[in-house]
Amino acid sequence: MMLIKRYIPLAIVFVFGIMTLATYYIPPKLAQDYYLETMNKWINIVAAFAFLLALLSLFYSHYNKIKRKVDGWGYSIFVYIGFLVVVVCAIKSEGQLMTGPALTSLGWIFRFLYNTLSASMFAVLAYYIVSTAFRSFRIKTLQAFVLFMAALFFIIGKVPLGNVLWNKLFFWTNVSISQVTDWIINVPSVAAKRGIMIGIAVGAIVTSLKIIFGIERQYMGKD
Amino acid sequence: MNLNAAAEILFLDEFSAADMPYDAGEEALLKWKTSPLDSAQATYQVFASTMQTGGWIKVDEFSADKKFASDIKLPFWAWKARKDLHAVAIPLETHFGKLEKNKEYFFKIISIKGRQKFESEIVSTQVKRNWFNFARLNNLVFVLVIFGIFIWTVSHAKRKGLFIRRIAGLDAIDEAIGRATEMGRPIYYITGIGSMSSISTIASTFILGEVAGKVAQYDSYVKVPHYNPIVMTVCKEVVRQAYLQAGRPDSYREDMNFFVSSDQFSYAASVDGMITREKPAACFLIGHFMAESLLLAEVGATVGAIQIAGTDSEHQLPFFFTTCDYTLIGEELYAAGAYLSKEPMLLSTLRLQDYGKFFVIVAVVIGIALMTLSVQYKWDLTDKILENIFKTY
Amino acid sequence: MDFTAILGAWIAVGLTLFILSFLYRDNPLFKIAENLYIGIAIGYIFSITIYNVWIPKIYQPVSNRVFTSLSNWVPWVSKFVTPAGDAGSLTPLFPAIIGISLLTRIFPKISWISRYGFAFIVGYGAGLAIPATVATMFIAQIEGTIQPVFKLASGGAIDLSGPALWTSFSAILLCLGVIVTLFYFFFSLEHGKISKKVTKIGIYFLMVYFGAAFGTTVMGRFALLYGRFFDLYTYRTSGYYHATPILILLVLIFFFVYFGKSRKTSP
Repeated sequence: MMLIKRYIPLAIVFVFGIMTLATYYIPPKLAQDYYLETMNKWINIVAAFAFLLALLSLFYSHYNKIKRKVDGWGYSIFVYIGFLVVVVCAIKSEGQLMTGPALTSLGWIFRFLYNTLSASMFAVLAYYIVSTAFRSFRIKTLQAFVLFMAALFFIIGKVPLGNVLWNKLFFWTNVSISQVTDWIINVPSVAAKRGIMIGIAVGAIVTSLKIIFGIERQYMGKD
Repeated sequence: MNLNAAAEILFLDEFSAADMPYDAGEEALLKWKTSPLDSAQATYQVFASTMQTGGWIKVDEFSADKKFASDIKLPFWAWKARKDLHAVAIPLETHFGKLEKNKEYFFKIISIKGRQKFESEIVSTQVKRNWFNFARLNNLVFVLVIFGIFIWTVSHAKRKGLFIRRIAGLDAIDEAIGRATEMGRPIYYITGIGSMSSISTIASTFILGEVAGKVAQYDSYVKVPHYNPIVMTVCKEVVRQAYLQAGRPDSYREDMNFFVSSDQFSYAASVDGMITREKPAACFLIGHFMAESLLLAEVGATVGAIQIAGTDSEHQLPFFFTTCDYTLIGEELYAAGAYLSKEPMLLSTLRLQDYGKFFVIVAVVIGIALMTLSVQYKWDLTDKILENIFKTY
Repeated sequence: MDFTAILGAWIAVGLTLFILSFLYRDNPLFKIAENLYIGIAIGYIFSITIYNVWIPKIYQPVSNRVFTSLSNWVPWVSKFVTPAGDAGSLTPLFPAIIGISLLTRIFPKISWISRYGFAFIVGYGAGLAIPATVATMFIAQIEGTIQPVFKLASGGAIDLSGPALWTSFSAILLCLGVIVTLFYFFFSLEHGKISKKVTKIGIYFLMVYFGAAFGTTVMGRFALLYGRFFDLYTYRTSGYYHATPILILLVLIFFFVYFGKSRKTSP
């Protein structure tokens, strides 16, 4: 039983891992035609099945909320309403957003509901980025100060008023704000970014190896 | 015709056709020697056909001072970048449609200089699929060396005595869970929006196992809202195991892991709502994140949760860093599994990661030194070798 | 104006206000928007999977294959069903089995079957990651860092003019920056006095990067905020029956009543 429950899955990880790795060393077009394209299709199909699992889980948890009448259960009804309306419209419009220049009903929902909601969340994000900035820039340490200064240069550089101020105050340096920000981006910032990326690369490669060789296998669960 | 004009004829010397090496069998490669008469005023017209006798299609035309063997972008171990040779790759598929196996393709070149034309002999070749991309040999060598060192390090893992530096974000896990227990509030663990095939998600499931184990010990409560259903199923198993190992299988609940949405912003909106209403004492944001990182972390910060973040998405690091109490930066996330488990075999892989970084440092220092010296002393060859070794083809 | 466009405008304005109201405080309007959003998003993804995966990648190839074989064996089948398109194929069944294996998670007794699915996904991901990471994040980053520190001036000697020296300084700083940042990530090195200092310098480089990334993103996000307000601004006109001002007023009244009431009830 151990064989079927544990060793064969680990062997599959190993075989698929090495096989996929090897495709990097054949000409890209051949890899694409003979392996990667099929694999992508397969991953899509697997994801489509997994999505059923998600759907069940979602409906079940909201059904439970309604059944048990937990706090705010009434709002869960909106999940079902939203879902049903979209699916009905999708069937009606056969999955298309447009017919010629006109919006289908699915396209209408996509534009006026889905896009609106996503864009509104982006607007919330814009607000948060400012509130984060204000909170974190209450400078406590020298490190935070460095972060703040770097950010400040970029904000000054992007705002017209900042440009004017910079030119008034620092004209004697003969350096424009865009020169400063360019230098920060191209020298110290890129240095740190490269350091982070090389670190991530090393870590990702070693972790992938641990997975392929079955050293890291917690994701499979124990038994 | 006078003699002078005859001397101006641009002959093609050693004209040959071959299969383009290391490609998927779509291109033919034509080569011939450069001539002292090559200049911007002269042109080469390349013709191709599937028959020796006719059906010629013009496939390329360029001035005679262009397209040398050295212009073909292949590394030195796969290609001789000569300047005394013209070389043109002909993409046959664009001219003849789908290529057939074992079919001869014929080529000729007409050189034109002033009024003089010269037509070359007809050469032919077949094209074939090459199953090894020799240009990526450098990558393969790196990977094989890493494989070798990996196997060696893991099999020679020392039982004890390996020093590992503190990783503050991971040491803070206990503090965060302890606080949640004291306050009687839940803990949120967010695995990000990566799929199960992304390495950071796998690293995150490992940390979740450790966190859930401690949560079980302290008799606190963890909630794991999910974006990806496959990650959810994996996490269910991981959390269940953790509770089992901590000896509290009775406290485990199936709905600790639950699915929220596979859509980035609706996921963020919903989780934000939950965090505001339940006011968790601690939030873990570990895995792969995109723009929703700040939406989640900022709300967590406003409800006063201890926040521990970790990601390899370097664009999101600044936001975590400014909103969270602890941030695992990039590689620290991958180190977490080894760090928390303290297993000798896993710890030894941390040392392997250090070797990797050490190699980079040495390579960078020596590389820069050689490059700088080669500017001074014109070591073109050193330049080229370095450039080719550290290049992706 | 078209009725659907006006209705769309009213809904868009309403939902925008519902979502933005969260910035003030959690409230019923946001909860409605939040749950509706989940329903719509999931419904949309579900429709995409149906029309982009289930039908073209699973149902059509498999059913075509089945019908073609059937009509070969039992000729009269072809009288009733004509398979659309090509002869189809049964290969989608393989990933389908993998997919189904994931669903076994629901039943604890046979949940180990799902490991076969995980094995496929994780193995593929790890195999894909190794050479690609070596290429783009390892080799390419080293390539970018290995640059000559000095440039030659037109005469052939090393250029020692002011700007050139600044470039050289920047190049050296860049190289040092990469090294000290990497140093920060060393795990198995016991830090002495000097290496502690080096690590600290590494942290400062990280701070500059974080700050720069933060600063550049702030402005980008604002562009998106303008976009949202632009919509609200467009929908204010009489053509849309003043959707924006009316809805803002209604939301404000609701807030006044709702939070006024909850203030009275809570001690």
